[in-house]
Amino acid sequence: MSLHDFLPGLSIMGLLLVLLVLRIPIAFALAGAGVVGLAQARPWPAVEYLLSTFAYGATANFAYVVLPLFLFMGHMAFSAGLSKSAFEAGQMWLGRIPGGLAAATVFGCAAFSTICGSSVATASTMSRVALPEMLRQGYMGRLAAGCIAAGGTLGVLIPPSGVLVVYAIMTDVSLVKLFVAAFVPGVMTALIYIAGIYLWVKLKPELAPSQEGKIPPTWGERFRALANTWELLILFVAVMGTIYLGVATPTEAAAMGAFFSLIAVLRRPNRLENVLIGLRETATATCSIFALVIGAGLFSLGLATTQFPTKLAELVTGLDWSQTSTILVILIPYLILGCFVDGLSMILITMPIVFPIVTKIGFSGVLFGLLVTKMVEIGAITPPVGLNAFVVKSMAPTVPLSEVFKGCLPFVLMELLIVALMIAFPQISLFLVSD
Amino acid sequence: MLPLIEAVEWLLSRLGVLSGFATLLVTLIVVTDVAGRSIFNAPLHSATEVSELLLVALVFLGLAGAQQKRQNYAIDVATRHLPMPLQNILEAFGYLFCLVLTVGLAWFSTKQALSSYDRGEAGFGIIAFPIWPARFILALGLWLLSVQFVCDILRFLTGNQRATGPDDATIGSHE
Repeated sequence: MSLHDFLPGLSIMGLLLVLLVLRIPIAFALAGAGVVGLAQARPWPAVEYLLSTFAYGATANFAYVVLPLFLFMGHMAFSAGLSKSAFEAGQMWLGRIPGGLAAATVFGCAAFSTICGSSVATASTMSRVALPEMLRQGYMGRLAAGCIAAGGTLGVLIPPSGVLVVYAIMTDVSLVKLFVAAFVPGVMTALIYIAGIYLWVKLKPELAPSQEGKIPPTWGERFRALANTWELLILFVAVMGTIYLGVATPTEAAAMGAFFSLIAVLRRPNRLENVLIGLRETATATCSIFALVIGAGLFSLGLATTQFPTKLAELVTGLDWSQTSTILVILIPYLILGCFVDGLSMILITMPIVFPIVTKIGFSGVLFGLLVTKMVEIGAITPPVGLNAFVVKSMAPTVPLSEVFKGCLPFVLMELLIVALMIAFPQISLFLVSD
Repeated sequence: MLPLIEAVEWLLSRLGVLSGFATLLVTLIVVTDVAGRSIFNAPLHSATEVSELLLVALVFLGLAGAQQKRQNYAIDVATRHLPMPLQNILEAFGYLFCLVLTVGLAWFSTKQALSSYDRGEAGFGIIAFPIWPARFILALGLWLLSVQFVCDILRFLTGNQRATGPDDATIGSHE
């Protein structure tokens, strides 16, 4: 295999890079490069047929309805303020340990993540609920902002998850398997965060106020707080419960979730306004994500006509590297790419190139999806485009952005530890799914 | 010129808001189908096909509105510090590139929609649910997006750019 074999593919990727650098919107840059690739390799009538049918095929699929439904459900859960009861329950149960409110915040994020698939929405709602309380009680901005930004990333790991839905659309890996596999690593992440906060505050007690002299809540108060999370519990059972038990497909479960969270909003003030905002935001996000999916699909086809992904996969297999080293070599660039591109775009741009390699070396597509999601999470809390950090900052005018990022750093280290654990012990994710 | 652009854009953004109701309809349809099937053993016929049609409407009728809100992300690390005139040239190139691509897709999609109508293209469900309406909606959405790009170009040429940018992180953003 010579470099010559790779030239057509490399030229298409080069064109994509040039278009991206020239600030062409990512969806259009992908589509443009894909169309050029197709036009080079296929007779025009074939290209014309593809252009006339591709967008329809990439959208009109009942399984894809899951995306707007989960987005809408997340918006409704956000508008109904369901994270508040979760945070309060966390406060009652974890409030007494060092850094207790920060731990309660992570608990609240994890609980909210079981009904919301967006990391930005999770960070945003917890910024409203937990940040003022932490700052009022004398928590340092660094810890308060860091734990929310990092806790928010649980939104995309703990199912439902918008990132996993898009990964499933791009790679044809089963969404149900992804959701089942993501649950344990998600909960593990939350537990490691809580343990990390405990250690961090033990090492630097000035981060959080001392708990001495405060009256602990009674068991009655604790269980009442837990009972107050009933709406969240119902939503979890209706959505993830039915998916895990195999009673409903993800689309059906998402529709029920959207319906129940809609009812939760209708029970509260500003109902009409919140529903309209939710519908509008869902539409805008769905449009931009599908624009990316269509663009990435055309790019993938254009690249596939050059045989580049297959040849690259053959080349990598021929290198005789271990599976783990290959996966690490694939994953590390995501950390760098995450500095320039948002998570979903990153997945859509890279999957046509790297997924064939993953399949070829026999690595689990399910586990790879989770690992890539982890990379996306890390990108969301590291500069310069760490979206979650910006969301928290926008709601915490008194905390400088540099402090937010400093607060995220310990969580980034914990994330790297979790990724290492997930690679070393694939059973953590895969013990319930056959791949 | 500006009032005309604003009027057209207002219409496009209203259509985007309207398309948002598709989510609500899909929710109700799927919930009714699930309830009908599991409780009354009476599924809602064509629920799948109607949901697919509504998803197409949601995505394509909202594209122009999404472009108005600059929800189509671009990477600006490389160009952020370039001199203003050069940035302007790049912006114009970007609009033209997107316009040409969208018009191309719209043109072929329209041809496909017409041919689908002529053939009476339908799904293979219990009821032969027609597919051509979705194809027409898709083509219409792409033409409307083209109109939005024309508005963007006119705004650029007359120096009346909108102030919104992709930096407005909202909970509706990508992740």
